[in-house]
Amino acid sequence: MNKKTIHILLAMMLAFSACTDEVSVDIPEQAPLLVINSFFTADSLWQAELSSTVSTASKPGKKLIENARLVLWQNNQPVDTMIEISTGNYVSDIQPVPGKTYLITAQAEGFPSVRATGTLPEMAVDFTILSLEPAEDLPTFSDENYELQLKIESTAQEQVFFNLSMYVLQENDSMVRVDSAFLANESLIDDQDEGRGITFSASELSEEGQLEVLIQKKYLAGKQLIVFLKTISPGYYQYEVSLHEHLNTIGTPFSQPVAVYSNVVDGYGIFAGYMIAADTISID
Amino acid sequence: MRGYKILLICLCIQIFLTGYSWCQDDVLQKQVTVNQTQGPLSLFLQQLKTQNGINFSYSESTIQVEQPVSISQTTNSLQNMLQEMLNGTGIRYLVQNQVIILSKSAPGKASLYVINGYVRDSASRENLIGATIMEVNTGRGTITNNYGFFSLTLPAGDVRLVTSYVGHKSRQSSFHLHHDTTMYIAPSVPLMAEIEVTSSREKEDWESSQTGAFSMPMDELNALPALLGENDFTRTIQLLPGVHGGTEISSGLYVRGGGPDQNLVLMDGVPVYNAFHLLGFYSIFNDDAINSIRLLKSGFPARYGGRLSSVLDISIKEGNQQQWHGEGSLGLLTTKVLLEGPVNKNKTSVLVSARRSYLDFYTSLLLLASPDDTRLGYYFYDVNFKINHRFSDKDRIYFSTYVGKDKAFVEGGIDDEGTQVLTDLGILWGNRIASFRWNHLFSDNLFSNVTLSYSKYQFETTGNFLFGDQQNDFQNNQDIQYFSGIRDISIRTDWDYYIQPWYLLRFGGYATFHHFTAGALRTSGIFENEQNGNPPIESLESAVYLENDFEINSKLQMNAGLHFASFLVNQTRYFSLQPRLAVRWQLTKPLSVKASYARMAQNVHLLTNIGVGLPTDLWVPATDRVRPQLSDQWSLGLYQTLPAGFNLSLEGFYKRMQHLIEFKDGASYLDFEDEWQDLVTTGKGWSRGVELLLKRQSGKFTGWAGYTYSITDRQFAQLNQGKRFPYTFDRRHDIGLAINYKKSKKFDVGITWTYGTGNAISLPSQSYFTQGENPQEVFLYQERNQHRMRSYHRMDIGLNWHKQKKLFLRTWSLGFYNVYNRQNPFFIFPAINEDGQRIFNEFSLFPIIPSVSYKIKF
Repeated sequence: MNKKTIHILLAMMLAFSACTDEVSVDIPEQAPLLVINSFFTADSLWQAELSSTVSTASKPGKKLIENARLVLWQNNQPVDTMIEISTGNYVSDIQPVPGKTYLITAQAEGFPSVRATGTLPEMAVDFTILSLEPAEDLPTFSDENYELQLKIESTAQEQVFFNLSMYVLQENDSMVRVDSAFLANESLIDDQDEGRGITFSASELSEEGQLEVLIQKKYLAGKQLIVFLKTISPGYYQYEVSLHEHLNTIGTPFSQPVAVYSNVVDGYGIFAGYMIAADTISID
Repeated sequence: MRGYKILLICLCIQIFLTGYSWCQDDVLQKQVTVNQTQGPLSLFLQQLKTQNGINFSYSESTIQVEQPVSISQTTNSLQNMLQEMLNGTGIRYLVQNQVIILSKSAPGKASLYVINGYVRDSASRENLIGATIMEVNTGRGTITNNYGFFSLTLPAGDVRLVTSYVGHKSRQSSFHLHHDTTMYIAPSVPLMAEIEVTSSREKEDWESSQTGAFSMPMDELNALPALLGENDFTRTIQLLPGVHGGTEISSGLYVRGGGPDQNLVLMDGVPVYNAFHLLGFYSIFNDDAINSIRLLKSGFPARYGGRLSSVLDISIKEGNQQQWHGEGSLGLLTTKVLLEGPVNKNKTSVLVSARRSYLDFYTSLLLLASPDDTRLGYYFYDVNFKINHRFSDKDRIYFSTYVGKDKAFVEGGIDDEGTQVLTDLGILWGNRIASFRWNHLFSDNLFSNVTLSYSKYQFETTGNFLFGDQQNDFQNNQDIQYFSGIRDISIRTDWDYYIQPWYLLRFGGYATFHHFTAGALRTSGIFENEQNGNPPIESLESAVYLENDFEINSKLQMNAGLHFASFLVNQTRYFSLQPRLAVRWQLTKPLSVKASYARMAQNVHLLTNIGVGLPTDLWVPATDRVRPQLSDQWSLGLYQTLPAGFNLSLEGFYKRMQHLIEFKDGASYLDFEDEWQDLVTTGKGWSRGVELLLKRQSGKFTGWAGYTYSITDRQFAQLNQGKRFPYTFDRRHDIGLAINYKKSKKFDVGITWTYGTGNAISLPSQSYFTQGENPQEVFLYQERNQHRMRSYHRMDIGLNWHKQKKLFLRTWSLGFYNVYNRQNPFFIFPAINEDGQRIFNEFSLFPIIPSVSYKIKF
């Protein structure tokens, strides 16, 4: 019974006929702005996607920007100019260093210049998988839940933020993403993983640093469950949480729209670092 | 606790004074006998002393005891005999310690006498609230209070009293006033053939100092179009200038830029927290049970407090004192019945009414064809009960109660891989209200009332699960319940003191103990047993008030008062001193100009995601972190009575609101794991506008036409980058039209039409996509509520055919909601069409909805 379900129930209670019509809306044209999407981590090449905003009066779609100049900076010094490897995709062979703060600037013809600052966390918070067992919880009526127990080396008092994602290694050695899972203590409110992992803060952990995640059994068809735990920056956390709320509030009359967090000055998007740790458990 | 002490003291004073006044009255009520009907005053005084034991005290130098006097009968109460005997003598009396003291009236001054009493319906003997009593010769007048009581002080001499009440024939009484007089005036309801009825509301419109007031007779409401066969006065009130309903489904009230929580809705003096059934489609008030309604939008008298934007005072009928009557109606959605009558004629009467919807019955029929045993549906019901007893002309008690509930439910069974699960999911909400009131008349000019009340509103979503095995042995269960609500226990006392013909003093106070449950989740059963969410909060709200109603001269009238309130919550106490002032200046006889100022404080907040007045909205108190809401409102207007029963008013207003709350972006009432105070942001609001109203409440054509131009803004530090933005329900232009036409005693028709500027809405101007395997479109909103939906307009028509049968009056009603089938916008959302093009879809709710209902009245 999540937020949307209750809204749907409320709407059903109207119990009268309703209709939907296309209407023309007079929305003033606004100048497009650059959008930087770049998540970086240690032991990896820099990668950034540069696109622009598109008016809602025009055809929707991602508008990638080519021939732009993207520069990485550290300590007010340029360290590299990124190379465009495909339309709108830029890379650098500079490897981010944990604990360091970086600046990215982007210039493209016809757009105001943008910049963003992001810090790579010092280290990935370590964790171990304790168990993966059938959940002794409410039946979901269509699927049986499994409960994944993790021990994370952090405490609820720490200002640490995480993003958790899971993959199943199948018999044919292909990897399939588990794209529907939720924290056990959030089970009645929000399905957290909608293809972007489960984003949470250390305050969700028990006093012993444990976390319970519920996974529907149907997603566990394979040999192994591989769990990735990103330790993310506060900006990354804000971005993911607001994006989740933004997607939840579109198309409902019962809430105001939510703006997605951005740390890109004079533009949109996110420039954020993370450190990652992984663990694996066999699926019986 | 200080508030309680003050009230206890008031209560003690009232009880003490009651006893005192009874003692004072004893001697005057004594039956006395004299030997003759004419003779010198001294003879009567002597016989009263020697034969009846009545002691007199007077000075022979000032009292001419040898002057001749006369009486009509030799045996009478002492009071009546004295009044007759001293008529025209220039001698007055008063009682002190059981002794009658005679004194001469001051030379050159006319003797003043009090006329008081109750105005009652001639047939039912029910007290009429807001009836006008006007003395034609002096031009002095008054209106009855919420209990039908009035007191009017006039000089001795010939008086001509005209008593009028909407929907009733005016009653005229002429007599010579020479002593204090108690009257029971009973205007009669005209026969159906007598269509021409008179109005009494001139006092309201141009003669009183009250601004922004509107009263509506229930007869007028019943002739207006019904929605699915159900009249609802809140929908009619939405047609008034300065008032609208927000959205299509709402019968909520948005008054002069205020929110739905800023209306003090009183049912027999008790606040109601959620006044709506069916997501706001209907109000909880069964119109058959309502005696009167009165809406105030500005110039709030000091006796009212606790909300910023309006007062909606609803009085439930008392029950017919003379004979038993009943009403019943059958509509497409609801059935309702009402029964009222005397338990003890002229002493005790009772009223009970009940209403239930049967949408669940329809859904059950539809699901009969379904192969599984799933049941779903929705219903609401409400019950009103009221009993009152008159101990004497001076004491009366009332007990009234209301119970109402809405429930939407889904019930069914599931086979979950061998486990049989029976489910019962529901959403419930409702009010429970009870009040006990005691009216006491201390003297001809001092009226008091004490009210003890209980009011509870609760919202719940429930899930009950029963788990069984293959043999259907259901032994295990798990329940989940999310609930929120508010519970009040209150004591209140109000006093009306008619000190002088030109001066009415009102004073009193109240104390309310609030218990808030601001959202909690409780689980119990075989899997989980715990409770999470916001802990309950308790608070004490108390206030005292003083209200002075002056008629300084024939042109200038003023209502000035102070409302001093205190709110104690979590060791934090808030005080507010709220001055109130309303002034009327009569320019010419039927034309006046009025001005008013009112500061209001509101100690409870409603947490609402978008303000459509859903039952899920949370009532929460002001706390040490979230301050009480405050408003200051100024009004200025012209009021004129026109020929042919028309009244015209033009009123401008400016309202400033502080400490309003809103959810932060993305926060929701369902985030019960977070402290609600962390989810909200506080800010300010402004509303200003002009309202024009032309109305007629007499004749074959009655109704009104209103126009409002207003601008309403909000500003919150954490919303819209801290910039000011239009309120969602900012309605620049608003037109409301309501017309009744009583063609004959057999047929009448009602038409309403409303027009309003579209609601403000946030629409995305641009978008971009996220990075990753599954890119998501992110919308960009430049400013909050910078766009407008299309305008809203709708016409409803209701036709009523009446026929007097042998035993009852029956009425067939045919109604059409949205008669020209306007697709009014409810909300707009972005989408992509089949060609991959961006479009905006507009969602509309109700097309034309016909309805029919059958009603009997006996």
